Formats: sequence, C-alpha cells, structure tokens
Amino acid sequence: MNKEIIPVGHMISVTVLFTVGTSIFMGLPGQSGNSKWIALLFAMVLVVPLILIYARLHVLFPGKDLFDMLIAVYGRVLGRMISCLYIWYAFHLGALALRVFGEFSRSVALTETPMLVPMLCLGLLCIWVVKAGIEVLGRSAKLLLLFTIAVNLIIFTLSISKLEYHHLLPLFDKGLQSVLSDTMGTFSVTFAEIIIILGAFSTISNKAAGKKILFGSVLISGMIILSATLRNLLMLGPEVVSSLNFPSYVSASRINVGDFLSRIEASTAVVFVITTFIKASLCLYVASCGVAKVFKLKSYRSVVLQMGLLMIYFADFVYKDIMEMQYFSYHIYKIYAFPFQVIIPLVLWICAEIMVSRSKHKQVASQQ
Amino acid sequence: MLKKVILAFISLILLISVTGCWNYSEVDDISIVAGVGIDKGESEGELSVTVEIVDTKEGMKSSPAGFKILTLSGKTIFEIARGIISITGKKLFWSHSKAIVLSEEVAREGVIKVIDWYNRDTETRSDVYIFVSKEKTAKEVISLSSVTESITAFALAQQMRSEKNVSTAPVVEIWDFIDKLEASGEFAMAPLIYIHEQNKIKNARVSGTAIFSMDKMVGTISGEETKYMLFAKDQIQGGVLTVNDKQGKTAFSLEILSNKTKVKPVWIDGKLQMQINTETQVGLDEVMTPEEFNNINSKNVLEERAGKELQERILSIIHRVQKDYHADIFGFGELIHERMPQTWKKVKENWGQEFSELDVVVNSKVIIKSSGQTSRSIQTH
Amino acid sequence: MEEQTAGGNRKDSQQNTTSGQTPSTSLDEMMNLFRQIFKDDGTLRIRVLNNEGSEILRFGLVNVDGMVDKHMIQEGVIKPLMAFDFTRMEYGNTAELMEKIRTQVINVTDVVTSTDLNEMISAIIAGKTLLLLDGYAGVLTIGAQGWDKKAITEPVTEKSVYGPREGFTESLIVNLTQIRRRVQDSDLKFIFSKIGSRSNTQICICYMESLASPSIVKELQDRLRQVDIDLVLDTAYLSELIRDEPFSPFEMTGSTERPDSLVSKMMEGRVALLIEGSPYAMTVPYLFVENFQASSDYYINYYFGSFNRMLRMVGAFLSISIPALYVALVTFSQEMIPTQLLLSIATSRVAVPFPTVVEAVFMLTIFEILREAGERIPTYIGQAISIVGALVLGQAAVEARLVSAPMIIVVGLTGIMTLLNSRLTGPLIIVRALLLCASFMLGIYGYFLGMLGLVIHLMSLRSFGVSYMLGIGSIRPQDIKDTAIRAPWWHMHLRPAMIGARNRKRKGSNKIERRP
Repeated sequence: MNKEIIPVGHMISVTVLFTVGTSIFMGLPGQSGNSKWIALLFAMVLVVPLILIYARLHVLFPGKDLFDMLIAVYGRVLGRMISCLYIWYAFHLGALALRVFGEFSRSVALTETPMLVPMLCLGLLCIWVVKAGIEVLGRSAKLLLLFTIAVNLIIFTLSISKLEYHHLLPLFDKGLQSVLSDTMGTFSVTFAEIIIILGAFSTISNKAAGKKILFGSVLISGMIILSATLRNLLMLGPEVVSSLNFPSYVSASRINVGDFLSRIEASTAVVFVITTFIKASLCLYVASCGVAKVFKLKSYRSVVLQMGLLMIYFADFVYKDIMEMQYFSYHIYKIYAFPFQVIIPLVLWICAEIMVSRSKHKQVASQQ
Repeated sequence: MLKKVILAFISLILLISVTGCWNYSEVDDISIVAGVGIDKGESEGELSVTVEIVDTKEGMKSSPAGFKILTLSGKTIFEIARGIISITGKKLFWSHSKAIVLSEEVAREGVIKVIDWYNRDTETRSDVYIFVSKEKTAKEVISLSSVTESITAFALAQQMRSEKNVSTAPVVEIWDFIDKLEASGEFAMAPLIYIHEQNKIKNARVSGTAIFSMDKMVGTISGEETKYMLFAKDQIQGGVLTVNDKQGKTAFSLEILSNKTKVKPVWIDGKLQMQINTETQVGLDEVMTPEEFNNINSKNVLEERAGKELQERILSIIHRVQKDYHADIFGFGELIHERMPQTWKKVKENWGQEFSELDVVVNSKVIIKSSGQTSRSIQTH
Repeated sequence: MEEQTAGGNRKDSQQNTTSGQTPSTSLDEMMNLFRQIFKDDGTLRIRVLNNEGSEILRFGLVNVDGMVDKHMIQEGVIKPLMAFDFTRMEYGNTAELMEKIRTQVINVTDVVTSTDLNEMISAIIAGKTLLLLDGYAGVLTIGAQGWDKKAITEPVTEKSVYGPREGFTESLIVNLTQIRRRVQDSDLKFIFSKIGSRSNTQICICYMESLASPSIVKELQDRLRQVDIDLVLDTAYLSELIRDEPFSPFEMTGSTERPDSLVSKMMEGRVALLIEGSPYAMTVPYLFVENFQASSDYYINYYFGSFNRMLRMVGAFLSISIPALYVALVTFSQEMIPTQLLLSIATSRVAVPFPTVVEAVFMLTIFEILREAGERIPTYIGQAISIVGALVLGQAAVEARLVSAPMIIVVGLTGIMTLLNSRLTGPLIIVRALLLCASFMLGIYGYFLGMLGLVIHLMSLRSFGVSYMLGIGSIRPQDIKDTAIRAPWWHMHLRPAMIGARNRKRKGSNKIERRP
C-alpha cells in the first residue's frame, strides 16, 4: 500500500481535467479573434515534441517522478534546488487555479461573499482528496471526466440553434502574427502545463504508459477545449468574446430552447468547479510530493494540510483584481512558465540521455 | 478520533454561522423587476428610470400578480437602481426583467451610457428585450396596464415571442443590440413601441424599427418597411405578403411559410455590388377578387407578380435607409468583412458613407406552396 | 470451588467450576456436579433411569428444558434403554458398554462420546442431552435439540412480487439448508465458528470455494477473530464491528434475508456470513451499486428491471438534491427559476415567518418523525395513517402560513424518493442534511462542492479491499451491465472483476436456437 499505482485510464482522466483546467471557463488568450481555434490546434501540434520528451523521460526513469529524475540527474544539491523551483511552480499554479475560481465567484456567482470562502471550501476539498491519495483522485477524476464530457455535449447540443457559423469568417482576420502569438499563449496555459503530471509519474507502473497517457490526454483535453472555444466563438462572435471575463458562462446564458430550457448558466458552472478542483488537487499533490522528496519525508501526506492552507492563502493575495489576473495569465505567464515547461525538461532530457548512454558504454566495456 | 469529530463539527457550525448570510436573500425580500423605462430627467444630464415591479402581496390567491410603478431620477442608472431601495425597502431583483424601454430622446442622445450597466452587472441578464418608445416618454409605455396580462413588461415579452408571425418589428435582445453596437460592419436597431388606444383601453403596440448609427438613434422606418428590411436580413420567419392585382389594387394575401435570403458581395465593373436573392415559400391565404386565380397558369402569374413586388419593396427600403440614415442595419459591411477581408480593410474607415453609395441588386422569387382549403377564387355568377 | 464473585465474568467462574474437575465415575457425583454448575438455573432437567432387565445399570439424562426434542429423547433414548435386553450383550468394561450403547441401542442420529467436562457443559447449553452411565467417567452427547422455530416465511424487508418467496429464518441450520438446496455443488463451503464470549453464538462463513477470493475469506476470518464482544444478536452487530471505514454513513457490508439473492451474490464471488438467531445474512465485499439492486430486477423483463433500477438511482440522487437545490435556487440563484415559477413561489412565501432554510429543516424533521412513527406502528395501516396525517398536517400548515406550499411539495417528493431506497435511508438523511448546509452557505456552488465532497468520500471507500464504487465511472460495457442497468442474462458472461476475479466466466454465450 505504500506505493500507489493507478490505472492508465484514471491517470488520463486526471490529466485531461488538469489540462482543461480553467481554460474551459476563462477562455483562451485571444488577440487573434475568430482564429483562436486555429491557434489551439497549432498549440496541440506544438506540444507533441514536448510530450515526446516527457514520455522519453518516463522511459528512462521508470517508476520515478519528476523530483527523483532531477535529483538523479543533477545530483543532490542542484537537483534539490531545481526541485524547489518546480515545487514553487506547482504551488503557484494550484494557487492560480483556486484564484480563478475565487474571481469567478466574486464577480459572477457569489458577489457578496468574500472571495476567500469559496476558495477555502474548494481548497479543503483538494486537501481532503490529496490526503486520501492519488488513487482516490484518479477514481474520482474518471467519473468526473465522464460527467464533464456529458455536460459539455449537452451544452453544445442545446446551443446548436444559436451557433452562427459566419463568425468564423474571414480566417486569420487579425493576421497570422496574432495567431502565432496566441499559439504560444495557448500552449503555455493549457497543454504545456502537463509537465506537472510528471511529478505524479511514479504512480504509473508501465513503461509504455507514459506516452499513452500524455497523447491521450492532450487529444481529449484538446477536443474539450476546442468544443468550448468554438461554441463561445460561434455563439458570441469574436468581438464579444474578447470583452468577457468568463465567456463560457455568458454563452451558456444565451441558451434558450423553447423558452423552457433557459437560465442554465449556473448549472454549467459545475464543469468549471470540477476542472478547477482537479487542477488544484493535482498541483497540491505534486507540490507536497516534491516537498517530501526534497526533505526526505516518509510520506507526502504529512505536509498536505500545510501546503494546502498556504496555497489557499496565497491564492487570496496573489493578485489584486481580475484585470491583473487576466494580464498575468495572458501576457506574462507564457514567459514565466517557459523555463519550467520547456527549458529545464529539455536540459534534463539531454543530460539523462548522456548519462544513460554512458552507463551503457560502461556496461559494454566492463563486459568486454 | 472523537476529538477530531467534535472539532470538525465545531468548525462546520462556525463556518455556517460565519458565512451564512452573504448572498442569502429570501424571495419575499426582493422586488422582482418586470420592466424598465429610461427617460431623460428633469434637470440637465439626469436620467429618470421607471421600473415596473411585480407586487406579490396583491395576488396572493389568484396567480396573476399585481404590479407597482416607481420612478426615480439620478445621475447614473446604477445610482437610481440602488436608490429605489429607499422607496421599496427591498432590493431590486433584475434578472427576471423582460423589457427595457428607451425614450426616443434618450436614444437619440446615445444609448451606451444607459445600457452599459445592464450589460456589465451580474444582477442583470442580457436576454431582455429592448424597445424605443415612440411616445413622448418611456414611462408612459411602462406604466400601461395591459389587458392581456396585468404586467406590461411580460405582455411585451409575449408579443415579441409571437412577433415572428407578424414580422413588423425586429426582435432585439439587449445582448444582440450591444453586439451590433460593437460590430464595425453592422448597425444596431430596435423595435418601436406605441400606445394604441381603442375604446379608452390603452395597449402597447410594437411596430416599426428605430435605426441607430453608432450608439445614437438616427431615424425610424415603419412596420411595413420593417418587414422588407427583415427580408433583406434573412430574418423573416412568418408574416403576410400582400400582392396587388392587375389594376394595382391589393387583392391577395400570401402567408410566408419560410424564406431564404442569400446576400453576396461581388465586384462588377470595378464597383462593389450587393446581390440579394430571396426565395420565399408562401401559402395563398386570401383572394379578394373573383378573377385572376383560376388555374395553374394564374398561379405562375401570381408568383411572378409577387416576386416582382417584393423585389421592388425590398429595394426601396434599402435605398431609403441608404439615403436617409447612412446606417448599415443590413449587415452588408459584416458580409464584406467575411467574404472580402482585403476590400473591407479599405472601406472600413468610412463605412457609413460607402454604404450609402453601395450598389444593391435584389432578385426575389416567390413560390406558392398551397392555396388553403380551396383551389380557386370564389366565383360569382 | 463454586464461588461466584458478584459481577464476575461468567466465563471465568465457569472455568473456576470446572478447572481441575474431571468427570467422576459415580453417577450421583456427576449429578451433583451438574446441579452445582447450573445452580439457580431452573431449566436443568436430570432424570435417572434403569433398564428393566438388568437393574444394576443406572443411567442419567441431563438436559435443559425447552431446547430438547422430548419426543425424540423418549422414543430414541429412554425407550430403547429401558427395553433393551442388556443381558444378551457382552462387554468387558463400562467404556465398552457405553460404546455399544452408542452404536446399538440409541436411535438418534447425532451421538458422540465425550469425556471432557467443559464440552459436556457447552453441549447442555446448546440443547443437547447427556447420557450418563453409572461407573463410567464419560457421557454420550445426544444431539436431539428441538425448539419451536418460526416457519420459513416471506421476507419482510425485501418483498418481491416475482421470484421465490422464501426468506431466511432465525435458525442457522434451516438457513444453510435453504442455501444448499439452491446450490448443489461441493464447491459450496460452510465454515462454522462461535462468537460472543457469553452468547456463544454460532456463525457460519459461507462461500463458493472456486469463486470467492481467498484473501477476502481470510480477511473476514481475521477480522472476526479479533471481535471481542459478549453478545451477538444479529449480523448487524458483527457488520458494524468488522466493517471498513467505521465513520462513513454508508453501509460497507451487504445484508439480505433472501436466500435467492444471497446465493446469487455468492455466485459473484462474495462471501456470506450467517448467524444463529438472525434471518439476515451478511455479504462482503459490498459495493455501492448493490444498494440499488433488488432481486426482483432479475425476475422480470430486463427492460422493466433496468428501468426500475434507474428509478431507484435517480430517486436516491433526487432525495439528497431536491431540498438542497430548492434552498439554493430560492435563496441564492433566483435568476435560475423560470419567471412564472418564481412569482408563484414568491406569492406563496408571502407572510411565511420563517426563512426558507428553517422551513426546510423543520419540514424534513417532521417527515422523519412521521416515518419513524410509521415504523413503530405495527401494522401497515399505520403507514397509510401517517401519510394521511402528513397530508392533513401539511395542508393545515400551509393554510396557517407556517410553511409555504412549494416546501410541502419538496419535502413530500424527497420523502418518497427516500422510501424508494430502503437500504439507503440512513445515509441519505445524513448526506441530505450536509448538502442542505452546503447550499445554505454558498448556494448552488455550495451544492456543487458538497456533491464533489460526496464523490470523493464514496471514491475513497473500500470494502474488504474492493473499491466501493467499483464499476461506476467506467464506460466498459461489461461494467455497466449490472450497475446502471440490468442487462439481459445472455449478455452477462462475466462475473464482476475484483470480486469474482478467480473465475470470471459466468456462463456460455447462450446462443439458443429459436425456431419459429
């Protein structure tokens, strides 16, 4: 029972919900107007080499997580230092997810309730599930993913009559430049965050499963985000989408089937609650695992509560307001996250390959 | 373990008692707003807002509830919205309001300042119908006690829902209105509302369209013209099409079953031209003359004549809007934007002017699908 | 030796009595010994008898009144002993004589020789009869128990219109017979043991050897071994002691009084525990979906069976959600209610003095009181009366403007939905109350978070090493076949994974040729 192993399906579910995260409600960074969805597809393509690297890392270090890899490659001191950076990254990301939920509740859902309260409630749930273990998280995620997909399908079906396809025209309205810029933004706020899942890779046993998990989840989460983006775009038009803080919420409020099925936007927010919950939980899990690894704790469970509470309080003061939050996530985040998502894993991979081939050489030499 | 349970229990109770009442509000502690009318205030720069509030106290036994009308002036809409609490004692609840009526005066001065709050605030919902009052003030309209339902705003919403059978006014929800304000290639419009008086019973009647250029109302077109405007916009879903007989007297009524309008921008001789093709399926519903509808041939003749008349009427309303208002309510600019992005970049800046000089060609086709229960006109001997 | 310390453990005192004692050869001494051990127990019957032929042979019969089949003792023991011609019998010593009596004289099936005093005492307690012989330091234990049993009747809690009508009774052995009658396979194993330091209740672990997972059987035995309790009256005692997650409101062991459903569960690899004196059998591991499975699902058309099962699931969901959602909508998200409905709720709430939450809690409590009262009233008419009472009460409360009319509807619906799932009544009440709290705090988002918490809780449960929510959240057809729906039999080829993992194939494909 010490080592928790979860099935591939569960891991994919966690990863999908994590990747979908807040972008299903916040929308994607968008200067490209009606070509956002193209930027999304580009980002999906762009992430392929990256996840190949991640999968390769898993093959090189089977049964180990990101922190083990870092310590194994960079040595005890440097490896721990870089691990600390990743702990920060996971911690910060989790706090941001909570904060988005907080902002949502403050500006849309529960306008008079202090933001800390809903964040605290969600955060406590995260602490609970992480304490219960990644197995529970995986099992819950499987069910919740099915539910999420079902809700998304239902919303999409209900909104079909309100879709106006001419919003897609003309392609590349704002120019290729803005599409590329959005590609980078989308890449960093959604798919490239998958690096976090590497911190939980010690829970999968199968060597080949890494690739399956990463590709599967990028594909599924890509489809979910794409459907939400297209729905928002076609229902609201690029001009309106760009002005909204939570476009999915507004597009759901436009649904009106026969004057009977209307006013359902608050129910659609359940999807948002779910994805935020899984995202924050996974971040909390990885951050706690990292702390346990760096400080050689017996179990990560002993630090979950502390990390979780810190995360909630951090989320409370990380931004001043929603405009600052949007500015950060659309403009600064892609630069801030680049080293975590691309540079360090890339270097790690190269070093690991060298190490492995050297040790193979040694083996061959000693055999001779 | 017991300690833990007790602690959890205490924290739960604390949580409830501390958080309990932030967003909590009982239904009987809110005043449900049914409709809003916005007028200019008495002093300069002030606005006057009239709200129609559903009065739940009155209709306790029978289901249709009563209503209350309140008016207050102030500098901003939100200030007034909060100020009304001092009259009602209850917080206004906006998300069930169905109609927002602007007085013509306000509309002509610019609407952004009065509808931004409605779009921004989370207390409101953006699926409310917007109207421009053709009467002197919006208050008059909103204070009408209608006969169909006791609450004017709900009656208006009901009218808008059945509007597709008449097609004499556009159906505009506020989000749609704001979309159009923001779009560069399409101008906004809103239905006009009158008070129709008969036998001393006053009723609200929706007919005609107010045309906006940017956020300012520039003019109106009548209900009949609105119908043909909707033809050009491919928004017609029903309604009646009248056709003249040979002598030029109105003699036939066709019920519009469905309509398909295709608008296409094309370059002809170095000039931009909009080609509008409409194809309307109709049912013959009324023949007011004994002649002219006897055999299959007469049907074809009628179809042709109907098409021609429709074509003329559509063209005439387009020309009128081009000439009088320079406001592209038809969304031609948006079409050019979508189909010819390069051209659009050139004409975008001065679109109002470009629009009024645009070449428009209309081609209408009417297909009679049925002739009701009889196959020919009533014959007199 | 026979000191009985006041309040002292009976077991200890019994050991005091017998420790160092060995059965005596003298019949009179033995009789006295038993009299002393069963001092102040008026039910002990001792009888001395002689054979009519050889007067020197003196026999003693010891038993407890009321637990013995008197007719059988009379016909099978006393008559032959008295009438048998011992002069024709050759024997060396008394032990040999006793053996011959056992094999040749006594007409009862279950006769065992015993020389251990403790064994004798527990045999008496268990209702067996001891046959003593003067001059021999041992007894014959004659298993001629007999007491009044309830006949096999229809199960009360799990009534089914279709299918077998037999239910378990309070007699363990009768229950085992019912199981055996249904599964005539040597794979069927019964492991007996005793539990309860004073009650000495007989229990039986029952499973299919080639289907049940040995680790689950072992785990069950291990847990039962650790139980230290003096009295066990029902499997529910044990269930509460050995279950996983003691603080969860959800049942972690199954309980049934239908032999047919118990057998079908054993066929899926579950292990059953039966107990003397209770018609309820316990099954482990227990899964969440079993709460919704009723045996009648399998006896009717599978469309209808699936429909009923889905009704039960929806019912459980609605019964926890309706009050919470109502409170969330009416007090937080009024914009979600259609306008006309909002107006009618608002008009009916005019002049109601209490806040909606108080109203809800108040009415739900009243409903639970009525439910409990209905259970206490012995006949089924009682329930009808309580429902009528609720209606009248509700009507009056609405007219007096103590509660609003929609609230009566909400509570009524909730109540009916709860009754749909009798097995889940307890957990549902608790979950409903918690969700109501959550809704009261954060409106519909509180409800969402509460449901999320429920999912986490359910997902973290395990019953005997098997995930409680096994198969839920799966999209593999094989997993859905007996959860959300009741698939037709020819589709259920496999036993559920994890439980019946040892031998998953349930049956062949059943491609039955049908000629018109």
